[in-house]
Amino acid sequence: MSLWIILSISALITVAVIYIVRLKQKSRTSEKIEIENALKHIYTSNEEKIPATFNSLKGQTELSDKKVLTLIDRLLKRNLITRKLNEFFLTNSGKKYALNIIRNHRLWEKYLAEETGLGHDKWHEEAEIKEHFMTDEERKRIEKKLGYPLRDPHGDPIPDENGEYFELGGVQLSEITARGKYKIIHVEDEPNEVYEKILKIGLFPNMTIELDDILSDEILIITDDGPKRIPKSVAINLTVKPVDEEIPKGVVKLTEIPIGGRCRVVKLSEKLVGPSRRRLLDLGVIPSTEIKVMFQNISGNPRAYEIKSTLIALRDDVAGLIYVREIKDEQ
Amino acid sequence: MSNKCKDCPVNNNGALKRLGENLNNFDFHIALAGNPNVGKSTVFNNLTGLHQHTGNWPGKTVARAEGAYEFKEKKFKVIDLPGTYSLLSTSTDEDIARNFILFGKPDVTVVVVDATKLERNLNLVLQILEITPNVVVCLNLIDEAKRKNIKINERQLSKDLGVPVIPAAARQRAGMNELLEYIYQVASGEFICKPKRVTKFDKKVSHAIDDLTKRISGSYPHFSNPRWIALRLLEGDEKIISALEVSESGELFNEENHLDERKGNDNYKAKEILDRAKKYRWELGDEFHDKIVEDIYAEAGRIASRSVTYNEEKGSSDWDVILDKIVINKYSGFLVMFLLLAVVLWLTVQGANYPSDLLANLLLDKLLPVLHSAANAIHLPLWLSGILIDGGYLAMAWVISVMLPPMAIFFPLFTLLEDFGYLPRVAFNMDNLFRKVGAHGKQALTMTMGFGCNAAGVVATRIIDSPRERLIAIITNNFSLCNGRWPTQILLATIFVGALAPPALAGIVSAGVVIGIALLGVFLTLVVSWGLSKTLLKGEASAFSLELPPYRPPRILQTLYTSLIDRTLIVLWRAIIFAFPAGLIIWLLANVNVSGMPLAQYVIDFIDPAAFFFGLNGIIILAFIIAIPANEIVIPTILMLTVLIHGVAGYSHGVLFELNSVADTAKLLQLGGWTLLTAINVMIFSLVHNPCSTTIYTIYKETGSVKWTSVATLLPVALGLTFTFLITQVWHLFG
Repeated sequence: MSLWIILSISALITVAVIYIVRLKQKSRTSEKIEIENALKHIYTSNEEKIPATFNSLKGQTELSDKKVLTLIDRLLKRNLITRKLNEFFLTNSGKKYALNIIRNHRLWEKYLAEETGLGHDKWHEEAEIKEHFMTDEERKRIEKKLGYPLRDPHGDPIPDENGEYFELGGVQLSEITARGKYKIIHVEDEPNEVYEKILKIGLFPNMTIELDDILSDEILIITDDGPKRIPKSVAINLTVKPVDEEIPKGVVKLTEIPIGGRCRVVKLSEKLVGPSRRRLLDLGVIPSTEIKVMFQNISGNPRAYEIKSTLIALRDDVAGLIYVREIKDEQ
Repeated sequence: MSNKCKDCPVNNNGALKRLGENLNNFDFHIALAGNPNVGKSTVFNNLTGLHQHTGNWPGKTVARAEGAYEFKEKKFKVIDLPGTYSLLSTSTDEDIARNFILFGKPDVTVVVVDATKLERNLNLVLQILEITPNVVVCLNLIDEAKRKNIKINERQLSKDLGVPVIPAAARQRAGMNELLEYIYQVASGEFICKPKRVTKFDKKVSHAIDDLTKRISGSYPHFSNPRWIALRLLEGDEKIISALEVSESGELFNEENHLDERKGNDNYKAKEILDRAKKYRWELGDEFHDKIVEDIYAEAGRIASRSVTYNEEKGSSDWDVILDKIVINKYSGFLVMFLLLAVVLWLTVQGANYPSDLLANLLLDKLLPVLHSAANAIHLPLWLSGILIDGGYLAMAWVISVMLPPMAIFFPLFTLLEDFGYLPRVAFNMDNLFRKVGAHGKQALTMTMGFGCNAAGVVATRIIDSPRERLIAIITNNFSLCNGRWPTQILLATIFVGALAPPALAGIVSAGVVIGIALLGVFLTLVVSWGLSKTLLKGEASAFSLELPPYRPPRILQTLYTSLIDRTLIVLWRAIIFAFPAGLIIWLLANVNVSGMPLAQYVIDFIDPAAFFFGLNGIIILAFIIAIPANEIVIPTILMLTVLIHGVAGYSHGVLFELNSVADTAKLLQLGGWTLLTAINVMIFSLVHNPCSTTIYTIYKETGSVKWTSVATLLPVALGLTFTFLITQVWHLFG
């Protein structure tokens, strides 16, 4: 029995030692995170021509006066920023550093969106952490895996290794005055409260919306999911581009076709991205393909569809993103 | 293959010589490509004489297989690529297939297509024709098409595609000679292919492709397929981009020039081309990929409509639908699943008894005394004959008599279901459960594979693209009761639970208990997947699509043959290999005395007090440790240790015994202090403990991570100990 006691005590000690080592590492990494977050803040401020000052930094980082001073000191010493009067500007190396972090952030968001099942509301949060810990090797691997993506899932451009990227075209939705069809090309994910509202309304990049009416404080739109109201305060965070495509009438989701029914694909929702979109296209789910609804399992989800003479099972979350027109029996 | 087969005219037109895995000095390289489930592996086996396992579920060939044959005095090496619907995406299997056709430069690419689904299959053919002109289309399953009243004009098809089209029925070996002949002709240049290229691309796409193609062929005149490179650049294909960047691209396409001389110049050109490609990618936007796929499918549809005629009368194809109406029906799907499982297990339980006794009789009653007297005759020292015969041989004999019969019944039955196309239906039936726990739908498939062998199940998880869900599938695969553990369950259920029931029902009751254990494993798979999705591997289930392949009538004789050779004998061989040294160790542990007590006694005495809390004993724990290399030997090890330690009456101390019936086993275990509780706990712990060493190694190889390998190894042990502890405490409380 005594052997058992010795064994368990030594196991406890090992755990404790590992814990202490971890704590030490943590303080070192938190310094790195502070520096990188400060650089990001100064970068966006510089880009948007808003002065980056001691106070704005303090507000952004939520640190004490003393800590912000030390932080600024470090940045100046490492020649990442310069000071003009009481404003801060990034040096060339500081800008490169900041763009690298932004690149990490957007790549990781893209990765989470395409390769994991994480919900949209978590992407930004996770990327805020991950951006500080991505190794070159990992970044390379992800870029390759995603096929050198140009934009993150919010529609923001991902800078390349030299920090270069293409500017977005488009206008803020709040600026639009003409009715018609628009495509959302960018959804701003900050501040978080507004972003959450956008998600709640059900808006996402690449989505086509039809502008129906503009009221004093709201914009009425029609989407594939029905009519929606967007407060003007939210519309500021949406960048759109006019499109001329028509969404025909009488179009429903594939999930709405009953067992035994037949239909023709009209389009795939823009919400369907990454590997799942490509996989569906490969299977032949493209406009004008005929689909027959064949079977359902015990819970009614997934269902099995006959697509180009092959039986394919799709879960409702995917099938609900395929827009079709039902084929009524001619006889 | 037996000599008789080699002489049979069906297999031999005089010029074909199958070389199996003899892969030396080739004249030509042949790549085999095609959609999943079109019979690629069957064609491969026909050509090479190998027995690549053919299962009826998509994604079975995860890595590429290689084989060889000789035809008209030329040697051909055949590479079987993973089945894919397309070469335009980024999944692992498509990467393997695409990169091999592009970088591996096969002399001929044979595309196996399903004659009953020509349009879908032509999509892939057209994509391959963009990469390489030297293609032979094998129009397989022509017999099935005939049954479904689908007529295909292969001449028209061949004219439209510009390459040879050979109708074939690979399962009946029909059309194979013509296939060999045309592969030969294309490889040797006798037949010049004029491949069809898709021309009707969207205007903007066309412009971008044409411009890039012109630039590429201007800068790299030696490339044989600049259009494909342009297309891939527009898709952002990393392999092509990096190939151009490092200027090793010459390696791609029949390079003859000297790289070094042109390097500086090339880098400049490459950059220019890449920049332009990037600009086009921005202009074309995200719809580019959609448009390409639509245009290629449209072309496939046009070609198919010219050569295929459907007869209006409905053929026998409706059988599939009728069967599916029962097998994956909302109401009967689960019932059919349980019934099938019950039947398979009942057949295994009932059928294994008799041959098991027979084998034990032969190996233990008959052969053992012969070995002993032989050892005496050649004056082998006692310790040596002890260690070899009473240790190694007996453990081996045990494994064979306990393991072989259930495996020889279970594996072929399982393989029949697999060949029939039932496994994807299981995945379909169970999908909503997996979705709710945040796991991938294909995990049901890998779980079912795990019922055969966990290592195979872990490898099969490659069909899951999402890394998070793949890890979940890998970690939980061990909860699928593998073949090494079925016999343990069956034996214990028969001895301890079946014996409680009236004799007439014993078989059914035992099978029921084993099903209960297997279902508990499924339940644990779901619960642990759920737990992992909520903690270590946070996330929701990702989108997936699952192909439900048409039912194929199982070829019973061939299935029996291959499952006996490929599965049963290999698994048995592994068990024997591990059993022999384990027998040596057990014998040594039991016979080497230190201060008057055998070594094993020290170990067991050390474990015993702890094991007591879990309703187990030192012997059982020691047996599980000795059996880490192979779960198959748990029960034999327990029995041997019990005899050796308890010095069971009738068997001499330190020497193994003759035990040839289930009743004897029961008596022995009861002498070792076993109760119903012990049996239940061993059954639970056998289901929920660390994977065998082969599986652990496979997990490490597949994940490349010590952390996840440890999780997959230790989590089940912790769970198993928790369960047995709780069961024991509750039992004592109410007992």
